[in-house]
Amino acid sequence: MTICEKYLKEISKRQEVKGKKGKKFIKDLSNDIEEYLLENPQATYNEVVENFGTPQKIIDEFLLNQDSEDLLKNIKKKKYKKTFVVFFIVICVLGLIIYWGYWKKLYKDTIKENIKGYDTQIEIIESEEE
Amino acid sequence: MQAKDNLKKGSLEMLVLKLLSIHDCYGYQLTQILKKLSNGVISVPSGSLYPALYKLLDNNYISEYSVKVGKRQERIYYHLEEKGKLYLEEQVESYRLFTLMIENILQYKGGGI
Repeated sequence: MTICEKYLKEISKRQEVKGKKGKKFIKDLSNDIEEYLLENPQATYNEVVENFGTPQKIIDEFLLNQDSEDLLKNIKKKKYKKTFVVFFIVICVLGLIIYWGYWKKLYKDTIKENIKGYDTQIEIIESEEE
Repeated sequence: MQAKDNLKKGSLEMLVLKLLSIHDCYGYQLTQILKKLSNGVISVPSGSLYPALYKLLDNNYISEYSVKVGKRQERIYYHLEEKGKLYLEEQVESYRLFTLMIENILQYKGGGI
């Protein structure tokens, strides 16, 4: 793994840099690091960190400098995603309950049908003593 | 003094537009020129530069094009558009007015109001 890859991996690990602009930022940052490494071929990972800042610092700066509209969009997206996941889970649970109920009813009906199929005879034997 | 911490978004946009009014630049080049021209006082981290560039792109003040350098390396150059030139003029004007007003306040010795 190259120094650039190692550095970008650290950034990608964090979930904050997302979306179209987040991906573009990672690509642009990658180009910058490559440029730096072209100028400084002997640079170590620590020197890259010294020059560009720690991955966490880079993310913090990126988030702090985001447009408020973009931030709001991301928050809304997260909210929609959460709602969708909850809705999906509820639908799945309801589906399972209905499915289970249907099979239970079918099972009961089958048993009833089977019972009806037998002729039952009840013989009452009176004892002679009476 | 940590001037880099005090560099506000608006000032960064203005400085970037100023550099692009001279010639097209790629991201890393912009940070290096700013560092050199300010004797290392203004150091713009990538986390601040790119959001500013994206905002300028969204507003069509600048445009971008890519140039292949070597086998894998790619440079994204930024170009100042006509709309950006006008925006730069506005920014410079309001910056000068703002610094003048700040100077006036700093020169204030009391009385006269």
